[in-house]
Amino acid sequence: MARRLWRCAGNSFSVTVAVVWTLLPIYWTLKTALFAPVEAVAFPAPILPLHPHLAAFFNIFGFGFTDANGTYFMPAGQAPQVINGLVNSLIVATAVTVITLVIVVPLAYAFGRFSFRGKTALLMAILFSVAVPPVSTLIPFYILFIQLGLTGTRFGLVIVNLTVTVPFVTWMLIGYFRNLPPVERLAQIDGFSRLGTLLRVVIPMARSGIAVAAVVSFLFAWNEFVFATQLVNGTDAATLPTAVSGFLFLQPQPGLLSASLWISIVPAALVAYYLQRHIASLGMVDAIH
Amino acid sequence: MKKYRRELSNGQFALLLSVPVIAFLVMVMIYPMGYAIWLSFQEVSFFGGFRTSYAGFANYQEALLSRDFWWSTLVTVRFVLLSVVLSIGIGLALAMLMDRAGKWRSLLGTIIILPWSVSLYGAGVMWAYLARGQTGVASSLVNLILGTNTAETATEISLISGRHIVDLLALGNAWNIAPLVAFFLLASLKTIPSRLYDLAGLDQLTAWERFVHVTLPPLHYSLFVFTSIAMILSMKQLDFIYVMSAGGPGDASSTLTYRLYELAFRQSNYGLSAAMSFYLLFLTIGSALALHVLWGRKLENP
Amino acid sequence: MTNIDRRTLLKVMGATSLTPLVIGGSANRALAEGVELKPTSTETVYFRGWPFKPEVVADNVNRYNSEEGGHVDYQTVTHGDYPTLMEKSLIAGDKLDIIYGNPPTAVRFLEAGWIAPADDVPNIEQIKADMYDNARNAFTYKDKLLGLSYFLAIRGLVVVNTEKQKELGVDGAQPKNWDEFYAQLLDLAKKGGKDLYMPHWFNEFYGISWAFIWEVINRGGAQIDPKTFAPQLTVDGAGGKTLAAWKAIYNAGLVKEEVLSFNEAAIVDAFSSGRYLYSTQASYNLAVFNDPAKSKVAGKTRFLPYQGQSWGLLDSAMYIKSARKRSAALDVDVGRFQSWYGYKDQTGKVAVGQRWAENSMLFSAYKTVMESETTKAAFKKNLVADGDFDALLAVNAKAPHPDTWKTVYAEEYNTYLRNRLGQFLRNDEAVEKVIGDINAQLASLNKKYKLG
Repeated sequence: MARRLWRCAGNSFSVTVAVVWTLLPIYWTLKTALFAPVEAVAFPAPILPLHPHLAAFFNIFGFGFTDANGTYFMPAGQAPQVINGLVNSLIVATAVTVITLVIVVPLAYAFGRFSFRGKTALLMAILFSVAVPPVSTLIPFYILFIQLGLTGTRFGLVIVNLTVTVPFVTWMLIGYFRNLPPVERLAQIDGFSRLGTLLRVVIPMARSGIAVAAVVSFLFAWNEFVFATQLVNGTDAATLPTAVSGFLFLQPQPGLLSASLWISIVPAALVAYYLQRHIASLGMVDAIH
Repeated sequence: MKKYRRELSNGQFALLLSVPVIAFLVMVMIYPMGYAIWLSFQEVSFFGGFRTSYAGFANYQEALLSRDFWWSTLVTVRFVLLSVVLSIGIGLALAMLMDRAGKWRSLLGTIIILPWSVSLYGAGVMWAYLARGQTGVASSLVNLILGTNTAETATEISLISGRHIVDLLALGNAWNIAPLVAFFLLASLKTIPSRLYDLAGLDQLTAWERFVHVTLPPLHYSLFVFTSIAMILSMKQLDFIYVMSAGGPGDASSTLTYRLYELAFRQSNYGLSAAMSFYLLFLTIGSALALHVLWGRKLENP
Repeated sequence: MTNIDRRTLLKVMGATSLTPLVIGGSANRALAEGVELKPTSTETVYFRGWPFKPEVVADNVNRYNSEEGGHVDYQTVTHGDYPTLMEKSLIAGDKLDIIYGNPPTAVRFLEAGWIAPADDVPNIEQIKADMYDNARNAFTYKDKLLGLSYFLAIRGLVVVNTEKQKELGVDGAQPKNWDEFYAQLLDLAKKGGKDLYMPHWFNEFYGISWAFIWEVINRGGAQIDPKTFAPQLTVDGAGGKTLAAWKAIYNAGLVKEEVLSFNEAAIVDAFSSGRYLYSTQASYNLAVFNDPAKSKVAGKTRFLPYQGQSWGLLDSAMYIKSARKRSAALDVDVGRFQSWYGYKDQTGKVAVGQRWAENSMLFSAYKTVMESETTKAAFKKNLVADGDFDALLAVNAKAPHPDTWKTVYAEEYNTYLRNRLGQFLRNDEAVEKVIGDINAQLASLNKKYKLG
């Protein structure tokens, strides 16, 4: 009994630590959105917004707001970019996720389950393609995209994101696929073709890993900042991260910056919540029966 | 069991799947890489029009002779090492926590993935606010305890110092990467049949032994993979550092990527920047290879 | 604060004309209306700006498009690193016609052949005549006008928290120059004062670097010789004195190490919190500091006036035309839009410039804007005392344009300084060594770009 209590307390403590560790940096900045600008510069920074100030959330979407004292807060000049960015980010991230999964699941399965010549070399090639620091390839990438007519397009951005998500997610899933029980022989006996094995047996078994891969791809694309800034900044295809980055320029607007970070987190959190319910809803993987 | 004859052997099947992808990746990367290589052998000048002239290995030489280059390499290595250790450690801890969470797992999982759902720019802003003296949590907490809540009486505590800025940045970087590690490890943890834990219970293994002999082995390969990934992500890291500390105080956190960015886009020294970026690439690939040789290869052929 | 009479002020600003310009008078209107500013073709003019009040810019552009039948495509480049993004677009030959640019950036772009001077825009003679001398000097390189006036400001204005001044007993005579300023600071620190000074030492190329540059020039020194470009810093001169003063206040604990990792927003927030006695800021931030909705020092922010020594430097930006290949008709259209946006519109009013002055406290290069009553009234709303407007104009008139900005290596030098000065402070290095290193760097830059 005592041992159980002890373990329970230990668990609660660990969970608390994990939650505080995760949420503290986020909360510390997000609370700024709930402060009036004059409070946001107070020292020491107040810990709780005791008089929540909602103007920033209205302003960020392009609406003016009058607070309880009658002070009017103007809509943010960057509101069109924020809204546009939200839409573009959703489209790009979804496209990247779907395409990545279609490409990566068979690929990671093959690398995880089979051994063959040249496997290591291919694996390394895949990984090295993401080892290149973007800084050195920014300009040539941009020139290439201009020549292909892909700058300022969502399509171009999806391609660029794929060059990052495909290698990374492949690598991540390989280890996962390796750990699945060996069902190929049994599937063969049952008359499945290799492709059938993959589609009808392995994928359902691998739901958790695939769900994680989906979340990771989505978030990679959602947050992609470097190439987005280069390729679509200042165009109709601009995504949310670049829109968010304009709020610290020249005259700081911490409330609006914070509100825009709220916007960038909420959809991502929803996707994560939905998808990760598929992670390991099964306790034991026993597809033999 | 009789092996069926297949139209394709395993290897050919795998190649069929992977070659198109690799071809695509190579095609997309080849022009930018080629251009960067070419640039690294040029001296770029602006006087009288944007011009390049062949400079042989001059840029590569200049990088090696530059004090800033070596300092940045040192900063990078320190940052990457710390980031990787922290990411894997924290990721593993979070994965195990989620594994045991029972009915709270969905909620806990959603919370834990939040750092990964913040862009690195956002993460930089968050950690900057958190660590600076005026806006930071240290000042607020201390002053709350002491009861000094006005600007005149409050103490200011900043977590930013030249000596430890890299450690702080590594912590923030790990904060961002750890959820990724955690989720994949969790998915792998879930493939461990609970029978094995029951067997461990029968053998009366301690918690630590259970961890090492039951939990860890299936994760081994994933741990290797994520160490490589965390390492590569950290080597390339720019936005987080740029926003959080602007490479400072001074140049205390000017990693190689920061230096590259500065050279190319502030000083318009594209040639030197390209040459340095290849040193960074060699460092990254070298480390990944070393990791593979020392660790991954043993796992491939158990 | 000293009171300067308007006429003297005008003389000081270099208004050499004997007949004062009649603001909004019929003579002006005739001149402006005689100049055609409508586009000649239906091709698109691409205008990309940085994220400062983009709603205002969009509104101005919409007005041009609707009233003059323009086809201007304006987008905000929403990222703080605007020069980098523009440079990348210019290298790649992207669709870009009008951009913003600070003078040193413009110099580099001109040398690279990416931008075209503004000497051929409609109305150019009137434009040049209407500019103050120091502004025209800032915008000119090798006798070419790099662009039309977007804004000017004083960066390095020493803002003062009047309430803290009273508390600390220094609200009497204001320091006249940097020596007196630092002496006062050290004195107050010895007496136990804290939160005395938030310097402009943030870790951007226009942060700590510019602070060094303006202090050297304010003290009467120079980085390089204007003709031979030879390095001019000496240990006993302005350079050495600046570094010695910086070392003194840093080692006395007046400035925390974390400041060297800040971005500009952080120092603006710092002064807005009401903690600091002094800070060096950009003049347009007076609008933020004296706004009760945004800062805790509203109504308490003034600044050190000109008392024989200049303060800070003349920060500015222009509307610049790119040099990409265009059809002849489009080229004309771009020039006309540049003129409309950068000077007078079809009604003869410097509408865009006037709007910036009135709602954002940005100075303009044009006498028409700076001498108008509406500008004065708008500025006064953000200033505390009656004499502040004239005092501000006086500091502006004296604000120098840095010598190194007329070279193609201005940005490289700034970046070098940012690194070097950070090391100097954090490692407590000797002043002689740092001066020597900076001079050596200037010499090597001269050699690299074959100057002097």
